[in-house]
Amino acid sequence: MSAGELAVAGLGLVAPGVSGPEEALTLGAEAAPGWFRAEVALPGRGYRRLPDACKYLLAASRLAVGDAGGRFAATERNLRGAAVAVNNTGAALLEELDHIIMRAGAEEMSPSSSPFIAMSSFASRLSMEHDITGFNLTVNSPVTAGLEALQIAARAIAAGRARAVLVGAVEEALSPAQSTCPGSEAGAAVLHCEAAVGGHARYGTCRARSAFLDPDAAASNVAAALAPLVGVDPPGRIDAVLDDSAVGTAAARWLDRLTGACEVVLVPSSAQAGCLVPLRRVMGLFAQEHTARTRRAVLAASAQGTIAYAELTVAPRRATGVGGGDVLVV
Amino acid sequence: MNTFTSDPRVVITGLGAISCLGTGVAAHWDGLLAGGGQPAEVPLPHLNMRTRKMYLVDRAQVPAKPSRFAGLELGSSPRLAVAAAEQALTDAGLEYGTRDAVPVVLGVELGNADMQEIQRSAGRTAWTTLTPAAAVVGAEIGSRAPLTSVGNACSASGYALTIGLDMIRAGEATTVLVGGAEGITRAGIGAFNRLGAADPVRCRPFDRSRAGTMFGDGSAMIVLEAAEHARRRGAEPYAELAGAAWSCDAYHPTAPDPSGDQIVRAMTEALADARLSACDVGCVIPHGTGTPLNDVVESQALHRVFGERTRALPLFSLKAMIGHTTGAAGAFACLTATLMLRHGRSPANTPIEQDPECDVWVPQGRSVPLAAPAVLVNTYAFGGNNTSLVIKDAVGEHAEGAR
Repeated sequence: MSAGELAVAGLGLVAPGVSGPEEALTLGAEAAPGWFRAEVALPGRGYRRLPDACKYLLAASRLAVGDAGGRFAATERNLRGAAVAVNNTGAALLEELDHIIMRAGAEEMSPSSSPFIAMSSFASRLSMEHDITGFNLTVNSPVTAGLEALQIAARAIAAGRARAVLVGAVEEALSPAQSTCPGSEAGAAVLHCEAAVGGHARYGTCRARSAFLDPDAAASNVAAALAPLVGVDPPGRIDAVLDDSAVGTAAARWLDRLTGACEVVLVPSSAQAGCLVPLRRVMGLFAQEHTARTRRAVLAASAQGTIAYAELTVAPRRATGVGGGDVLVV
Repeated sequence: MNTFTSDPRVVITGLGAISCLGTGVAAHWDGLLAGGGQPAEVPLPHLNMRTRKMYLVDRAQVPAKPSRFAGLELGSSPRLAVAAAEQALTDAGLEYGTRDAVPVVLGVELGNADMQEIQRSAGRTAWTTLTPAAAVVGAEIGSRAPLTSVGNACSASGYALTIGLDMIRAGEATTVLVGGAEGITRAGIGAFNRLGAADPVRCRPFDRSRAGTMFGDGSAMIVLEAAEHARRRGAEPYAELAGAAWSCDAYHPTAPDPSGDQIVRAMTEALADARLSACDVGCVIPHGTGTPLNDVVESQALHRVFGERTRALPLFSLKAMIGHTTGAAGAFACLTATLMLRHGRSPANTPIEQDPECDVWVPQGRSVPLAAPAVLVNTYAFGGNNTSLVIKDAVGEHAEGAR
């Protein structure tokens, strides 16, 4: 364990067609109308006028905080943080608001929706929900932002800026006019994270790294970018979220060399992919049952050249014991 | 931990800027001394709103390239970012070919919005990423290191600067390019119009008639470097980024917490991080946007941090001269603080008729010599996301260290 490492104490997932983190590895289902029931996930007042993505994130955060058993609330408020990834969240709302300006004028915009032209507004609501006064940080690199949020949380904890951080990713479906690829992501994933040293590694620990691969030189530079991320001792399984861009193709070819050394699970991505799927993979791998400490990893890359790699050490556990408690196997 | 354990300081060795004041750091400083820029009509179609002005980069100075990247059409924000980044790295003496290990950390909120809005007006609706700027900069400068794009609205580059500082302190990098870039945006101005936060006259923080903020576009870039690394390669630092702190109000989606407790905490902890006291601060560049409540709350918070000295502590109201550059505002403020330390003075502020509720000193009519070695910068944002940064004079210490 070291300063760049996080302990994962709680998981929360809200996504179409899945019931919880243990199903996070299933490929994303289409967001059918009514898949998310806000009145169930977020009982209480003050949520009705929030955009859907904001509700997804709040609901997932409640699940993660609850899953960690009250550790977040027990952390001093100035040492609570949030690091949230967004890409396409708010895109449909932004289009809707801009159309209102174009057709009817800014005075016709909804005052409750207007602040959400800033996509950080989706994450900011977490602070009011959980009394987070340490920091609330939004990151937005295409595709890789969710894994980068893990890296940023680890750095911030090491620098003493927080002791417990909610690391999340949230996405909302693009509008039909915006969408050029089937199956835009929707939902939110939140992990309750702490320092690896002294923290509660109920699900295990993780460490994230990142790099940049110039799309114009992807094939020639891919080894220099990926080799330091993966290292000389790859884990038993790498889930690779890659599209068919020059960067994605080069990364997939480089991973071919690991055949025999580890299992590479290719997770197909699209040109309009958001940042939720990579963090869902992290969550899904942590939620798997193992009888011994197990190493896993998630790699994600965007067509723009951002690459991130999260290395996980999954703690031995059974998903749920009798009465809902964890049962350690070793 | 910083691998340069004999000198853990992080210094500023390169600067780059494009704003309504012109292209380049000299144009920026000269523009501040000349009283700043003037608002102009935003050149976007379908701008159906009452207030349609920003502090604009001269359109002839907006770089034409790169116009595309990885299949994306680029608006003005990434192009401004690339130009300012090149200035900063060249200023630091880091030529192309020596930058592969330089991470890029940018504050970008509505980045590529102008391109999307122009396309939307023309009936093109396909969505592409709003935030390609960090990747575009990474490719143009020849970096292979991590890129981070922070989207915390008006405090985004305050967070970015802190992340760069933490990366160097942790020994992840010796040199980091940090900054912010924002273009023009119809949706952004429209939202502020709708929220009653768009001043139709100008950006006039602390003025009794202020009626909201007014945006500005542009990019500011800063090269942060481990002090010992800079010394070994013979780079002269402008200043030291001596401390930084974050806080969050957890109070309201858009309004500041009237108590100011968390912005006081950010200022106090940034000074503590810099191992300085309030009396070491010679000037403050406040967040000061011109929105009525923000300026009052920040003024009151400054009194809590600086006590009786507040009325003799000069504030430099940067946004009155270049507008509110939102995601780039923290980078512009840090760059301006660095230039103040370099020149030993704070430029005269844009004349205002001061609001008595904002009981702070906004010196007008003359520049003011800095009476202490540090400048404090504040950045605040929607959601109550706050950062405070301390930039400290590095002249003398560097020369001493070199001996």
